[in-house]
This record gives sequence, structure tokens and C-alpha cells, in this order.
Amino acid sequence: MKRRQFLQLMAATGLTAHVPLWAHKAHAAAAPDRFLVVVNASGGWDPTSICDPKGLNGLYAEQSTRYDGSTNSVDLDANKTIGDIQWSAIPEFTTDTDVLARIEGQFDNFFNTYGNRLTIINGIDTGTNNHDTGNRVVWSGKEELGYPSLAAYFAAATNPTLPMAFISNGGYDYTDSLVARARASSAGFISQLADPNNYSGDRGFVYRTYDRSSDQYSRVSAAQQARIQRQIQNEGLPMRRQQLSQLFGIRGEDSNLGGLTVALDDLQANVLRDDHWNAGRSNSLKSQAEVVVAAFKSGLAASANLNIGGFDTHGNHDANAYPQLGDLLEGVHFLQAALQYAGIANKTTVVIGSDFGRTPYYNSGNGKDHWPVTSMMVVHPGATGGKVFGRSTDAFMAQTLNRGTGLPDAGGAKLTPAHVNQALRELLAVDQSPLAETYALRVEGFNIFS
Amino acid sequence: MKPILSVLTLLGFMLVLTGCEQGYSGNVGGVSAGEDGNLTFLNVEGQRQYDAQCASCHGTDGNGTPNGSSLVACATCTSLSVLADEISRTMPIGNTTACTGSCATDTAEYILYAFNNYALAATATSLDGVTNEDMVVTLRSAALKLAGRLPTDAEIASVENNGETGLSQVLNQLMNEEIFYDNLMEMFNLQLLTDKYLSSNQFEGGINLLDSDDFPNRKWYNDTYAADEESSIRACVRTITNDAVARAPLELVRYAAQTGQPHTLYMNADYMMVNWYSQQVYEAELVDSTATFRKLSEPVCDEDGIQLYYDPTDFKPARVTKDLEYELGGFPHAGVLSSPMFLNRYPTTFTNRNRHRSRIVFDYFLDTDILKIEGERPGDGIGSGTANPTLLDPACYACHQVMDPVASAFQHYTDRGQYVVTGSTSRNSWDSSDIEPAGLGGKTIPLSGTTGYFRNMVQWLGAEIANDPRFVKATMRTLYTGLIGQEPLLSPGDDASEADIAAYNSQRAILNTIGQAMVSDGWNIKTGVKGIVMSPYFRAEAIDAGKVVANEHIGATQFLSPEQMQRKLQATLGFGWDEFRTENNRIMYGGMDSDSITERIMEPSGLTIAIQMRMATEMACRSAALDFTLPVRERRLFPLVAATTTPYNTDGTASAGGEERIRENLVHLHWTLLGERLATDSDEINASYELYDALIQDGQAMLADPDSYDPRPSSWMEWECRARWYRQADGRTDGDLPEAMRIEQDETYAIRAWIGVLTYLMSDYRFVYE
Repeated sequence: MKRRQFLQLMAATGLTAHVPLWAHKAHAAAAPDRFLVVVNASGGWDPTSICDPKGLNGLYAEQSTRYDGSTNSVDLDANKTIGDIQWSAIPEFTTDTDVLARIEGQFDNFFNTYGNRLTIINGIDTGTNNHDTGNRVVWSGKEELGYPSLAAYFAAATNPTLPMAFISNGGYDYTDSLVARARASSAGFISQLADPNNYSGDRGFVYRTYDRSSDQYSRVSAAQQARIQRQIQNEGLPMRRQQLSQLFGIRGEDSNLGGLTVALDDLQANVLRDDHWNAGRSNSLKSQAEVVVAAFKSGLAASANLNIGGFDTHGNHDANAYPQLGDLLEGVHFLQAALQYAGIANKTTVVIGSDFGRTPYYNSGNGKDHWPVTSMMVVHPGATGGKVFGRSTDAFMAQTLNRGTGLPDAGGAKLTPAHVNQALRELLAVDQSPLAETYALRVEGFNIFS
Repeated sequence: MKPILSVLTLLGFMLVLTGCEQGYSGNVGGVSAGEDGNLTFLNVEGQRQYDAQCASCHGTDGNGTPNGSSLVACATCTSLSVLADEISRTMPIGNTTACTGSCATDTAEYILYAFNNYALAATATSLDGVTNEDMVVTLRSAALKLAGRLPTDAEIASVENNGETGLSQVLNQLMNEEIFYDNLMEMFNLQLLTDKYLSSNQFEGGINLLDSDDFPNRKWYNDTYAADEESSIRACVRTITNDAVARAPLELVRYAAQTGQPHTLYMNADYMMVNWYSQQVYEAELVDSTATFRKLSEPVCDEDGIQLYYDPTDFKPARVTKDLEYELGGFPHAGVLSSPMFLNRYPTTFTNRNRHRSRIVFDYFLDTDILKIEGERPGDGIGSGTANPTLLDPACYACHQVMDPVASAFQHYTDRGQYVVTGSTSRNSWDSSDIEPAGLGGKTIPLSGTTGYFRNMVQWLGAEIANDPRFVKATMRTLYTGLIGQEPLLSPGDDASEADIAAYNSQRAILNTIGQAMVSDGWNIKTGVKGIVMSPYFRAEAIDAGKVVANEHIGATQFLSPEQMQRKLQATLGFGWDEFRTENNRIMYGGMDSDSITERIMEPSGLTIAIQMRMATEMACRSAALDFTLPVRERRLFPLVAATTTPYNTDGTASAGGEERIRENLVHLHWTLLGERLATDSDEINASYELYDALIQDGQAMLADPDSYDPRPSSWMEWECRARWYRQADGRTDGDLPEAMRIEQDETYAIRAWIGVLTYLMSDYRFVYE
């Protein structure tokens, strides 16, 4: 049964209201021509330690005696700039100079390499310091439940029928059933699945000849699809009809897992983890990136969440946060290298963010607690010249901004995750999707990416 | 039922129906009566009361015993009001005040319905506009869900003969089986997530959370097996010990359910659960000092000439009374609340001051989302400049006045869960000037005096929660989510539709009824489980959309998790899929590790479906011939055909007998694997038979002309599909079958046709979902 016939069947059985959105697409899955990767720094990162540094400003003497009540424990470095971007210097939290040099290298290399394609968004007011709420609002634009994550929304708007349309490795990954959400972490197992019937020389557990002149598995598959159609027509429970239609849709697509295996092997042979800055660093992110890029390359997925933890630095902030931030940047660099090798870097947008920010002063344990102001970083095809949109105050507070320039403006408005998500939808050309009405953000726009 | 008894019962029903007809009309009242008195279903609470107070004399089936008369067509069984009045005034004999009021009415309803064929309407088992599935089908689903097995013929007969009463009794039996308790703990772990610390996730993940000064014996196996640097006896003991430590909070759930004690022990048990291995970690004292741990007949660890026989599943209540690093006499236990696993899974920080723990307590155990309390979080992160905003700024205080008393109650537990009583000279300082005093719901914990709770604040908290009606709701939410596969409906907002409000209210009414029955039954968690299984949310088969407009939440069908699928394979085939032993594979199939992946994926992707299809083909291949090696009475899949049964005679003509047996076996397979009760000439059996027939004809044609195919087909089956090996429960091979038992060839192609049919059935929606 063709998809169109399937939809006719759905209509005939009064089921169209229950069909998942991806099933409405009246053509088979086409290979995606653009991609989105969301990189989540889980736990609430400190923007002042990376892309919105304030230095030794001594503005919080009442709150903290550490570093004279300063936001950071290291001063600004005039050499660490590109375009409008200023990135943080590395404080001397250890006597191990190799460690400090490694982290400084990660920071400097990242911004010098990608600064020209970066847009830094500073001074975002998340309105929360709760992890769950922060995660949800930053990556969906809404505090309330029920809105899909940015990556799920993108996949649903562009390529909802892909078998692994949205790959999630954690973070906020709610889909509202718009697309299939897959966890793809074990490359070896995936290779077994390319052909579920494959056994010993392609003969198959259910017998077939090499030339498939006799192929009993195809008989079984045809019987399965015919049965699902009967089940859909006879089912009396709406929930089950929806599940059946989803199963029918997924089985009707060619999952092309074999293509993923080939792409992954190729990638792993040619983009070596240890050759991309530091051996043995950021392996988790690099591993996630490998599978995601291979899935993009083989036309299986359109978007992905990558996830790296360790940013909830209530104690010993400097010693914990800076190495993690360095590894985050190294992971994103490896992702870019893999995308470049796969030939899709110029079709891929990478958005980096976190639950919220951290206090602009140190607590008695040398840590930093939750703070609602945060930043995001976007690597998008095309030059930006090192752009910064939005400003937090010197005391790292949110302030009203001009909607066009992003500069402080008493007559402007505060920049929120809703604004950023709206701008990202526009940048990714999914703001006009039919989904936009259902998942409307209803905010007056900021001109972040123009 | 014996024939004579059946006749007597039938006669009894006839007498009741003819002699007492007037008694069944009109509004007879009662807690579960409809307006017109048209009562239609079993009263769960009444059944509980009957079992507890009446059955010993009147019999579980109401037919009486030497100590009590039959209640079938009894003299006062004329109407609900008459029977309830009789019970209220006279029963139980010797303690006539024990069952009055609603107890009497509920019990009367149960007696009339269960023993007198009287139609009652209970709110918890039906929903207007929803048709429940056949009770035998419910039995099959429940048996798989609760006990990980298919129902026996006797259990099916019990349900067929006794309807809901029989189903209820079989459910009671299922919930006494060991797998039920494992499933129960799995349900609670979906929320608690303390399985993060199992050895499969982290090396010594649970043990390493314990303070080495408090518990210097925490790695006792390193000393006991000191000569055994890398060997496996230490590894074996280490794994069991760590997992016992990690599982201690969930074992409380099992213990209460298994011993018939109230589930409130989860909150207020003044002990923890240890087995022989973890007792040594804590140097804990058993509550029953005379108790001994059970030994098994086969060794649990058997390496390097050392055998250990102590049963890892034998957990007993124990207390830590030894001196700790900073405290004399151990620490006070308060169910899960004082568990080091819980306290570490939900840690705090110097500045957080246990507020995260408080939020979790409200969410998990009081069914309250703190974050939904009205209030404002300052956009600049600083607030209005008030010196102590959480106490003095009204925008902050609305939430903090609820959250902070519970946070304060945890003050003696450090960020790592170590018990260090706060005080001016303590290393665990606690500034009480800027936070609400410890308490809950407006009550403040009395701290001073001989009856004060200063050192036992969490014990006070556990006792309060156990008595809080919100704990009933929270427990029902946990059970509902575990059994149905989705959370109960959220409270509808102000702009919700009438349909959504009606759906929410219906569900709330049913869950409240079940919850109250559970509480009335001594907080028996099994009553809660049974109530949900008997409810329309578990049993729904069809919906009248005109009556139930908001209906997409109705039904318990869910995409099976890898653990559930493994149990289903074991129940239906006798062994699981070895690929599910690998955690990575389970996660790719939508599973969770309670650590970084804390949510199951309930909607399949192309990847999960590919895994499922692979599982179906591999398992069909491995199970078909193996099943034929068993005696007919032991076969799970093919009890009605031989390995050589085909629809054709040797001369190629049709064999009516062969086809009939194949169809009958297909009926068996559709029931066993898919829970469908079909006739041999139904459309679905016709479709399955057509597939079987096409496959065997195709195969026989190839066998007749082997040289025309590459590879050349023969009677030898694929290596993987041959019956050469026993299988372990997890799917791995378990030694060779004796040669005489092996089935490696398939002369007629019948076995291979069955492999194709099994693949078809095991990739079906009804197998993938349950």
C-alpha cells in the first residue's frame, strides 16, 4: 500500500485526526538538505566563564568575599576577541600548567576557528533557576509543558518521515509525538539491523536465495503489512489505532540502516578523535557526534541532541567548569570536522546552550549557584564576522534591549528564550511550518540573525 | 465447578431471581448504586471486607462452611438495604461493630453480585461509553504484566466459570509470585531511579556512596577475600553486595507487599532492608535478632574453591545502631527518606539547603508540583533587594513556605547523605534564621523535650507523609504509570474543554476509589495494583466516542520496554533474546539506565522497529525446531501438530486432517503470542494459514528442484535455526541437546514454514505492544 492509499484508508475509517503529523506527508522520505544539532551543556553553564566574561569587576562585595566580590576569578584579556566576541581567559585554578594550556588552547582554537561563523547571544533572561524548567524553556521557548524541543520541531517541520528523524542523546527532547525520537549509540548493533533477516551470506533466517528469486521473508513482510491494515480498520480504541498507524508508517519506510553503517565506518576511519585537538578528551561528545553525522550523511536523520554534563558547579567552580567548557568546545570542533568530512557542514546549524546561568560571584565553597541569565552560541553556515547580539549588564543581569541592534535600550524589551527560539525558527526556515500555529511562541521578534 | 455444585448454584440463582424479583427493582441505594439502582459490577472494597471478615465462616465462594451458612440465595439477600442492615447489626458474630456503615454496604454489594448474580455498579471497574475486553483476555494481559507468564488452563477456567470474582482470585495468586515483586520494584524505580547505582551501571556505584568512616566495612569482601586480587569470588560477592545496597529502598516496597504489611513502610519504616551481603556493609542489627538468612541448595558464588549459599533475594529489616564517625548509636531510619541511595540520588548543596530534596518529596510522595505554586522568580536573579527574600519577599515566600519546612527536616543529612546532627559546634552547620523551621503542611516538628524530634526530624516527616491523603494519590500515580504506561491526566487548566474536564474527573474518581480501597485494606499495595488492572483504563477494548469525547488516554496498550519484551519472550517461547543482555542495545530499544537515560521511549522509531524485526526473525528461527523437541504436553508453541504435519499427503493431494490441525495450532499461536481468541475459520486464521501454505508450497517446490536455486536448498535447516542446544532464560545457549533429541533437518519444510509464521506473529502489533 502506498502512503496515499494509506491516508485514504485513514480517512475512510475516520482516523485522520489521530494520525501522527509525520504521516500526513504525501510522499516518501526525501534525504534532508539541512540539519540541526543542539548541544546541551547540562546542569547550567556559566556564560561569564566562556562567552560573556566580566572579569575582576568587584561588583558583588556584599554577596561574596571571593575575588573581592568579582564575577570572575580572572580578568579580561584584550587578546581574546574576534569581531564583537570576547571570550574568557583561563584562571589559574591549578598548578598543572599543561592542564591550563590545554584548556586555553581549546578556547582560543575554537573562537579563532569558528568565530567568523559564530553568533553569540548574550543577556537571555530564562526566568528560572530550576533545572527542569530551564532545560524546557531554553530548548522549546516555553516554560509550559507540551512544546517540542527545537530539534524535534525542526525535524518535524523538515523531514518528519525519516526513520530516525531526531536522534537524542539526552537533554530536553520532548517530541509531542511529532517525529520518531531515536537513541543511536551502538554502531556495532546497528550494522546487524540493516537487514533484520540477514544471516550467513545474505541467505536470511527466513529462507531466501542470493538472487532473491525465492524470498520467503518478503512474503512474511507483505502479510504483516496487510494485517496492520486490517487491524487499523477493525480497532475500536483510538489509542491503538494511532499506534497501529504509526507502526504502519514506520514499517513502510526504508530505514536504510545499512547506509548508516557504511557512513560510520568511513567517518571513523578518516576523522580520528585523537587527532582533533587532544587525545582522550571529550570522548562522549565525539562518540555522539560520529553517529549523528553518519546518520545525517546516510539520510536517516535531520536533527540531533548532543549532551554533555558536569556544569552544575556549586562547588569549586573554576576547577570543574573550565575543563568541561574546554571539552564542550573540543566536542563541537570534532562535530564540525566530521560534518566537514561528510560534506554537510555548510548545511548544518549548531546551537549550544544550557539550562540557565550561574551567579556572578562565588559562594563560600568557591562554587557558583543558579542564576537565570544565560547565553547561547550558534554556528551557522555563512560569515557573521564574530557577532554578538544582546548584552547583559556589567553585573550580569538581564536588561531591556533594542530589538534591531541587541544593544541596551530603555525602550526595548528583555530577551527571553522564546525570542531566541523564534529567531532560530526563522533562521532555520521553519517558522512558516504548519506546526508554528500549534506551537506558537507569540513574541515580538528580535533581529538576532539578520 | 463440580456438576452437582453447579446445579445447586444455578437453582439458587433461579430461586433468587424468581422469589425476590421485587427486591431488585428501584433505587436500592448503597455507595456504588446508580440513580436507578441498576448496579453492574463488583465492589472491590466489599470483596476485601468479605475476604477479611466473612470468608472464614461463609467460604470464599459464599457457599458456606460448617461454621457459617451459604450466602447464595440467603434469606436476607433480597435487597442491598436489607442485607446491609443485617450485616451492620449482626456481623461478624462476636464483633458486631466491626462492619457497619459503608463497610456493611460494600460487603452487601459484593455478596449480592458475587454469589447471587446481582448486577452492581462499582465506579472503579467501568466507565460509561467504554467497553471492557473479555475477562480472559484481561487475565492474559495481567498474567504477562504482573507475573511474566501466560495464564494456566486452570486459571482460565476459573475466570470463565466465575467471572470477575474468578479474575480477582487469580490476580491474588499472580501477585504472590516472585516476578510480581520484581515488577513492582521496577515500577517504583521508574520514579525513584536508584537503580542508577546497580553494578551494571557503575562499579561499586552504591557502596562508594557510603562514607568510609561511617562504614569502614563497606567493602568487606576485599578483606574477606584478600588473597583473591582479581579473581571472580570477590567479583561475584562485590556485585551482589553493591546491588543489595543500591536496591535497599526498593526492597522496602517488596517487603511490605510480600509480608502483607502497609506500603506506608516506604515512608515510615524504622529500619532498612539488608541481605546477608549488605548486612556486613552496614554492620547492621537485624530487627528480629533471632532471624537467620536463607541459604540456597546451589551456591550463589562458586569460585576459587569457595562457595557461598546465602540467597541474595532474602532481605530482612535491620537497623544501623553502631557508632558512626560523628554520631553515637547509628542513624534513625525513616523508610526511603533516610536511605543513602535516595539522599545521593537527590543531593543537595551548601546553598541549595535540601530544597531539591524537598521538591522531590513533594513530587514523588505528596503528588504536589512545587513549581506550580503561584509566585514570581525575579528576572534579574537578585529579587527586590529584600535581605531575606525566601522568608520576607511575598513573591518568594508563597513557594518557600511550603518547600522549606521539608527542606529543613533533612538538615541532619549532608550533601552525600551522611548523618551528622546539626549544631553550633557540629561540622554540619545549619543557619535556621533564614529558612522556615522543619515541618510539613503548616505543622512544625516539635524539637525539644523528651518527646521532641530534633534528631529524628525525617522520621517525623515520614510518619506525616504516611498519614497524608496525598500519599495515596502519589502512590496511585506511581502504580498507574507503571501499569498503564502513561501518567494519569494532569489537572485541566481554566480553559480546558468540557470533554477534558470530564475525562479528568472520571479518571480521578476511579483512581480515588481504588486508592481508598487500598488504604482500607491496610495500605495493601496489591489492592491498588488489582484495582487498576480491573479498571477500564487497563481493560478498555472499544470506545463510544459520542459518550467519551476525550478518549486518547484510555487503554493500557504500550510499546514494550526491552525488559518487558524479554519477559514476554520468556513467557511465550521459554527463553529471551540474548541481544537484550547488553545495556546499549536495551537503550537503543527505548530502555533506560536510571542514570543519564531516565525515561523510556514509548513511541517506536525506524531504529527500534528494525531491532524488533531482527528479534522476531532470530527468535522465530531459534524457537520453532526447539519446541518440537519437547514432549507434546510441554510444548509452548506447537502442541497440536507434529514437526512433519503438513496440509498435503505424500502424493501432493490435500490433507483435510493436516489442514485442520495446522489451523487449530494457529488458533493456539494467536492466543499464546497475541492474546487473540479466534475461530479456526476466522479471517485472521485464514490469513495466517494462507501465509503458512504459501511458505510450505514455496519450500517444497525448492526442495523438489534444488539445483535451480543458489544456495542449494536441502532438508538441513539454517545452522541457527536447528534444535541443537538448550537455551538459558536470557537467550544464550546452555549446552548441547542429546543427539537423539536434536532436530536439524526439515524434510517436509513444515518447520521452516512455521518459522515464517512465527516471524509474522512476533512482529505483530499485538506482540510488540501489550
